[in-house]
Amino acid sequence: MARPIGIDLGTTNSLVAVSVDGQAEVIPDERGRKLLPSAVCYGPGDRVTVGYEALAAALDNPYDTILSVKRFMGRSTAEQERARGIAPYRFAEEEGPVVRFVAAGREVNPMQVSAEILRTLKARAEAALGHEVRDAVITVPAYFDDAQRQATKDAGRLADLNVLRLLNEPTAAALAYGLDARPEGTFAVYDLGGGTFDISILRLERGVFQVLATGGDSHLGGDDLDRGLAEHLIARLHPGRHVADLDPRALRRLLELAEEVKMRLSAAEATTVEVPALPGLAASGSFPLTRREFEDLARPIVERTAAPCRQALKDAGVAPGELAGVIPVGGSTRVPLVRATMARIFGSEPLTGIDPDLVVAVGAAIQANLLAGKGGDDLLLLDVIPLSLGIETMGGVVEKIIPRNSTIPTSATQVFTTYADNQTGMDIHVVQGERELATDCRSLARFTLKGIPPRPAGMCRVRVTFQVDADGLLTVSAREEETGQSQSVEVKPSYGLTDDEVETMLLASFEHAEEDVRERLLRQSRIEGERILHALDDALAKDGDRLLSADERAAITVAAGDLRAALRGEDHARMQELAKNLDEISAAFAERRMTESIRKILVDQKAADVKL
Amino acid sequence: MLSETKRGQGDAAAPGGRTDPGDHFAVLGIERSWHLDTARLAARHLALSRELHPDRFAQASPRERLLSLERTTALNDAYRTLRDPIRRAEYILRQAGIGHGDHDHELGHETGGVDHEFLEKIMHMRERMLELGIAGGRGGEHPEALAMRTAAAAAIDDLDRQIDAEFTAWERDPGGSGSRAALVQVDRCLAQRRYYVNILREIDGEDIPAGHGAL
Repeated sequence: MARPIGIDLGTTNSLVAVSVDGQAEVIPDERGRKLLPSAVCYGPGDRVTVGYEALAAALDNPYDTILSVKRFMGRSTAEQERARGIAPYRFAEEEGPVVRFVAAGREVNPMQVSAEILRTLKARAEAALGHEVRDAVITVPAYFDDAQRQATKDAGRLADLNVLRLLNEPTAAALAYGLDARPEGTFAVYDLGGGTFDISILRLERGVFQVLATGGDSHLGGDDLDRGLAEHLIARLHPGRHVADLDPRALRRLLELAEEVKMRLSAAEATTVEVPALPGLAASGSFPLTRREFEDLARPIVERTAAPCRQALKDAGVAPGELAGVIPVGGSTRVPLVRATMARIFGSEPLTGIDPDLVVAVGAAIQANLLAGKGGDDLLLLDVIPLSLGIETMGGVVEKIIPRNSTIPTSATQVFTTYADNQTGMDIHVVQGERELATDCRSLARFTLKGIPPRPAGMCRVRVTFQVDADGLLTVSAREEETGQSQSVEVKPSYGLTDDEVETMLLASFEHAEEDVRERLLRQSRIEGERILHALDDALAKDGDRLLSADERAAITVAAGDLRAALRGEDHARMQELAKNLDEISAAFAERRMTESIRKILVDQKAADVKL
Repeated sequence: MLSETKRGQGDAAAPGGRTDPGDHFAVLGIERSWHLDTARLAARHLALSRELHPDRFAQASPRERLLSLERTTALNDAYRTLRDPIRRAEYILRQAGIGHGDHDHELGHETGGVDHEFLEKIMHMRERMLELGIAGGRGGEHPEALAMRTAAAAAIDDLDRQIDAEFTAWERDPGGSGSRAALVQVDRCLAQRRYYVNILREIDGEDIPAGHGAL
């Protein structure tokens, strides 16, 4: 049976891991390298290269090689300016809900760029495992907002992956540690990635990983240390010059040099820096640099991690002294100053044991395995929404409807009444963030509820439901509650890609589009159909006799037989239709089973209460 | 109890597949009461999560996945509301049709239930804060700000004691004639409490999570 994979889709590097025989491991490439640089180079024609090769190409081809694409995920053209400083990319001119790069003469969006990275990792896993891979868990920074999460999921779909779950990176790390040694207690996960910083406080107790609070900064990462150091190097040799006005090729070389120097200074107290001649900066030179000098310029950046840590501890209601351990994640946590900062904030030395570069991918593979139903029934992850969800009210003030750190999945409903006579529409603006004013929060969706019947002011009530699923993704629906009748309106958020856009891009990525897509649909329908039949057989064997009448059971058996027969054929539309039919016929059975299992738990719990 | 549980769950799946809050107490299988054992509440939440969480249904049929999402959502929403004493109080009032809590109201509309005299007192405090320039977290070590802070915190403590006492009265006979009067008193206390919490928040210039206080 096909194994699901875990993917750490990082700002700087990405990894893929798989769990084999209860042991989760990162899969290296054919040359034994575990990391895949998150670099995608668009060449002439349709040529796309990913990873080390693309990274090398970035030196000569800085405009057509996209690095740190993660910083652009879920960002609109209006927001790209903020990220522009980090790279020399060319952007498409028209405004739109997603950023579009212009690389080698074509337009690509961040989801498409990320999909190239995902495809490469998928191929790597398939080569190593010797079978096709479809199911994957992809990790995201805990602090990612809804738009960034949606973009990541879209990237997975573009790479033809079935995204089982978006897993928060710190939670993945805790899972990797937790499964290893089965520790108990409250832990902090300090995750300084290439471009994002996350802090999560989790309680580990009898197989349950419960996130108590999370926080972070989605614009702070190890890249900032490299950039700060690069700025210093250029100032030493060329006083008055800045990173910002360097030729892109020179900037690329300098950033690489800075990263190397940073790593050398993690191991040694001092090093000699040799800056080569760079495009636009003819003079080369060398000078000594001490760790202390590096730390002086890194300190203001590393210090920015302290406030989110303290806030997360406060939100979790945990004092530093109550922590059982601090889990470091991300290559930057090897920097002695970062380790010292962690120790200072939390009052204890960070744990060692799992490579901070690999730990997230390992956790993702463990979660993928759990979701595939392969053992680990005693494990459960309970995660939270990182940022409050709210709606804009009069005067631009935000009313919070789901507070941050609420366990997901979660929902909130809000009833709106009309404020003018014969008002037939209502504007709703959904935002995410902690600030009081809507303009200071992330705008997630703006939509107008239409079709409200004309009535005097205050007479119509519209119930709006905000649902956040286990991936941390939001859907909004609205129902107008006039006496006796209610209509349901599905509201799609205004950013990200529509299903049609995903399908079109997917089509474009196949060489023989139509055949491939037909094949793919057939395969997917078959897998889905088999899964439903398998689950149903299990359920019938367990509860069929107790919860179904003979007639009900017969109807289900007939519908299941129809589906089973269709799966042997070649008609994917019929497979889907019969799967849907079976789903409807067995709906009451599913409902009864769920109700029964809840009843059982509550009976057990009450029995336990009595004993106490 | 069984039938009550069933009813609560039946309500959870409203037409159109939307999740409705259902009855939070029934979802967690506990008696309707303001005084409750939070450790027991946490244990219930955990035990139900182990069975209902969408992670458990990743390989199930679309129908079961939807049911799992709806039930877990109702479970988490119930737990979030009931574990916090203030949200729990607001929920009990809302169910009794008293006040409005955080539900069914015009946006931005502060609650009723406070008299003119109280509002004047609050207005004086706010005016004084503006005069001294101590709103928005700029209170610092200003002695009058500290005094105001102490006064507001003491008022909150006092209200919390009143809320506790009124609920004790209500719990003795939730259906009785005097019990509704107790809940109306709770509503008044909660309304006043919100004003004091806002004052604390303005002096400290930070986000005080709902339910933060002496309870």
